[in-house]
Amino acid sequence: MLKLEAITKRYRGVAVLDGLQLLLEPGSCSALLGRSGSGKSTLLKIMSGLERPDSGTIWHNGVELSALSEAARTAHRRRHIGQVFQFFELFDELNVWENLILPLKLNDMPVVPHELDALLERVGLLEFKARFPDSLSGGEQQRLAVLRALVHRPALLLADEPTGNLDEDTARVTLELLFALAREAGTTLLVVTHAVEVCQYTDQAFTLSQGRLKAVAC
Amino acid sequence: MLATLTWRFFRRHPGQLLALLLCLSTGVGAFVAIALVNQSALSSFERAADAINGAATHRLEAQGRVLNYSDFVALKRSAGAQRAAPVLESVARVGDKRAFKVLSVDAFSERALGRSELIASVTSLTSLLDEGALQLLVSRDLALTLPKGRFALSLDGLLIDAIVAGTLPSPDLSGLALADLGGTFAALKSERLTRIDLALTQAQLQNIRLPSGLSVVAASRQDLVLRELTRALRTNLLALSLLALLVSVFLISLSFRYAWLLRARDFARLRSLGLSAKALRGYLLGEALLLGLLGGACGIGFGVLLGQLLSAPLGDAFADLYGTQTRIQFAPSAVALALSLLLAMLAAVVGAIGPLISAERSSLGDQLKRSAQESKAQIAWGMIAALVLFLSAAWLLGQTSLELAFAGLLAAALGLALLVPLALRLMLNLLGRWTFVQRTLLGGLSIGLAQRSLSRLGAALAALTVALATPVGLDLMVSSFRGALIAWLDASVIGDQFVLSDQGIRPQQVRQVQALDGVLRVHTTRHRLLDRTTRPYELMAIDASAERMKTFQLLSGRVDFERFARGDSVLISEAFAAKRRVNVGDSWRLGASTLRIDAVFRDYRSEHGVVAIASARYRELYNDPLISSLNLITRPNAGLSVANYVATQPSLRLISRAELKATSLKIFDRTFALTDQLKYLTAALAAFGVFAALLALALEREGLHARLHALGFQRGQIHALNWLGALGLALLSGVLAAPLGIILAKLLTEVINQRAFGWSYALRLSAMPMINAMFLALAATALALLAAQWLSPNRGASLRAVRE
Repeated sequence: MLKLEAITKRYRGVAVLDGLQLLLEPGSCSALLGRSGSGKSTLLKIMSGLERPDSGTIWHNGVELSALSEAARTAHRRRHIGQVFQFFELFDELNVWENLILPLKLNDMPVVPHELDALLERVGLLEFKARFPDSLSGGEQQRLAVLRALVHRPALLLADEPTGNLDEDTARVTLELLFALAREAGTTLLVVTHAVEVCQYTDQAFTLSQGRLKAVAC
Repeated sequence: MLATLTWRFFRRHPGQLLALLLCLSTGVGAFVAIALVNQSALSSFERAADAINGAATHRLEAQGRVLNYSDFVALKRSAGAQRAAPVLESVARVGDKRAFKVLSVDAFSERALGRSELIASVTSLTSLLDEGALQLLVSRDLALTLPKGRFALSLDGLLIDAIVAGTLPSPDLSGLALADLGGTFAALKSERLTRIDLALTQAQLQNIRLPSGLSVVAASRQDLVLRELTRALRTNLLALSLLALLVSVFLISLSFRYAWLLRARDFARLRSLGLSAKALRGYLLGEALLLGLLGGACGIGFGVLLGQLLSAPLGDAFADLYGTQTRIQFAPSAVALALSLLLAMLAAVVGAIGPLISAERSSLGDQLKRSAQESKAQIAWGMIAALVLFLSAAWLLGQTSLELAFAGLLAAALGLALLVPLALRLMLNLLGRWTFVQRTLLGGLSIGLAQRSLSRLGAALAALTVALATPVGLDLMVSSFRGALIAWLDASVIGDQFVLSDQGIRPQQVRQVQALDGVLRVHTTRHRLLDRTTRPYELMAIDASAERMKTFQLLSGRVDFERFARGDSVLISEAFAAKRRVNVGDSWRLGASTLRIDAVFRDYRSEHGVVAIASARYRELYNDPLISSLNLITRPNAGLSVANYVATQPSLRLISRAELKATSLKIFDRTFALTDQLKYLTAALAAFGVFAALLALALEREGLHARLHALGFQRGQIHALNWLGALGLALLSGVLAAPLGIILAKLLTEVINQRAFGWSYALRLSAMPMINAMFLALAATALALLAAQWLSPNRGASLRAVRE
């Protein structure tokens, strides 16, 4: 469960998040909608522990994230949170296989090749496992990024505009894959997006406006 | 996995690895070169001193008379001085080549003193007697320049035949020849000696019975002159090593900043995946150490080459300054090399700290904001650090110690360097307001980009500015000093021709010169080094004539002619006043007399200081009738009669006023030749810094260039934008180097020179060093930009359309 209580964050005196509240049940899939500059990325950074709120508390799976040191937040993120980005953020110097196993290596988790091969086959990347990201299409790169975010079975998956850089068809395939894998793994998923059509895959949706969240009907 | 990331990155971009190693090895090389030269120079000096002095503890010198071989015989007969060796030091010259020293020694006596090098050498000479020609064993440098076979040698002014019989075994000696004493006596037809070296215990020293007119002084490595020399050498080279180390750390820091900047997004990705800051820090530190090891190894190779190049001019400079017969044998020990490698790795880690902190703070999304945030923080911290450095510099420069003054100069230079980015920002803001620039598309864009790139380029440009200001400061200091020296030589040296003698001119010879046809007046000077074992200074006894007294350029006090002529007062040089902390109105003790100090005069001949006294009083005090030099005022065309007379006197030498001036200036120029090489080295290091920074900037601008191209910018326009920005900033650095150079020159002339030598002179400004700095800035930046464009990872790809 992810719980945010009275989160406030200010930049140069302007409140980007202002007493924000949020509760995400385990295994739920949610969408966060909002205009550019509304504070969506700041909220994601706070949820992932990259930034601290000015005030308020964040609880994740019984851990008060906002009370942890930077090192402890990093350790928590490493084990319990996966992230997908708009620009994929794959390592150009590592091939598909190496990119995929990186979270496992970071968490000292076993690498089981046949399980990973099955995952790669499912997303159509098995034959590309020795190739480097810059030789893949945008859709292939984002599918790999989704796999990488989930490979160590995190409790929470945060996706920041995961389809913002893809064409309509590729975006649809990627979203289907993202939600399917998250639901199968029982991972709590929060997708930050401009695209209202994402709501068709989610259990709930919110908009961020004037520093607060408001539930919207999908 | 992290290592794989690094390895693959460098494999894909070998140019980046090359650039990084180049910067690392240049930085390390510069420091290592000077440190190794320092170490080699000191050991060479010590070995040379050992080769020459051996077991000698004292030396016997004549006071007020000529020392002869008969004194040696008398000494040997007296009890308590069995271990003694006679030595004659002569000045030799072949044609108009540089003079060198001939040391004539006696093989049998040398054996008693245990100086194995001299015994072996001179024994080989005595077994190779060649009638009619003086046989010389010469140092390796002389072996290359002296003629083969018999040649005419001017030895103490007497022309004799000589032949090179072999080379001295010690590689540390330079400008020195060894001859058998008997052979030299025969050639000079005189049994005069310069000194007798002695190996005495304290008890023997108490009991020794000396022939009259002789005195014992401490010798060998305990000699203060040599100690002063090594101290000066250590101070100078230590200052240079520190400067090189600072520049090296700066270059290394730039290299890592650049290398890690290229991978900042990877670090941010790793952090977002949960890699802890500590783990990233540990990994990058390991990488810094490994690269430090690699770059250090290359740097040591480069440093050894550079050190070899620097050894020769350094040896020459010291030979001219201190009259040493030492060639700096560049042979760094394995320990020194290993220590250099350790230091290189340490420098790599220290240099990596700043970039490391930036790298471990990498987070996605902050990447684009980084530049602006950094620049604001940099300005604030830069100003605070500059203020602290200026306050430290003010305190250090106010101290009397030379070492602290050097530290103060360094602090001031660093403080000024920290202000450079701020000054550049102000200049760019002013330029940006200029309507003409605003209206030009490329002009406006260049100014905007230059302002934003200052956080990346600021440090490199600060280094470039200081590197350019250093030669400006040195050039201004050297040209002012040279001008002051010429003016001083013109005003203070009286006479058209000069008769000199190392052994001393006898009163009878003085009278004979005075009687020569065409000689109108003769002024006499006797130089004597006093307190040579404690705090040496020069006593200069002069004839107290009104004409002579006018040549003193008084800085304070006035000359009471009557009192000076009576011998009741002395004049002191500026250096003497500074080092002894005495002034006009104080008194100075000479022998049993206490004399009033009447005035302080300008003098550049001795850094130890000079006390001028009337000749009559000097003779009374020291019972020394000899004269060191005669300044002749002659009728035109009187030169021949003087030359004819000097030719008949083996111990005398004749030089003209023009020769004296030319020789003085030649020595001056040779002394500062090393400075020239060092200033170009500094500029080269700065160019590497600019290169590293431009390379980083080229990468940062990859996206910008692609966007500009997508908007319709031509390739040429984008190149022009790069060139305009870089050369514009270099030009501004060149402009800033001028005031910075003047400040450094002012500190060098008014603080460092005063502390080191006690000499003062006015700073004379000239435009040439500043114009040179401007050209150097443009040339260094243009070369750096070309190299950066060639090595840039986005070369050829930079103009691709915007991806995605």
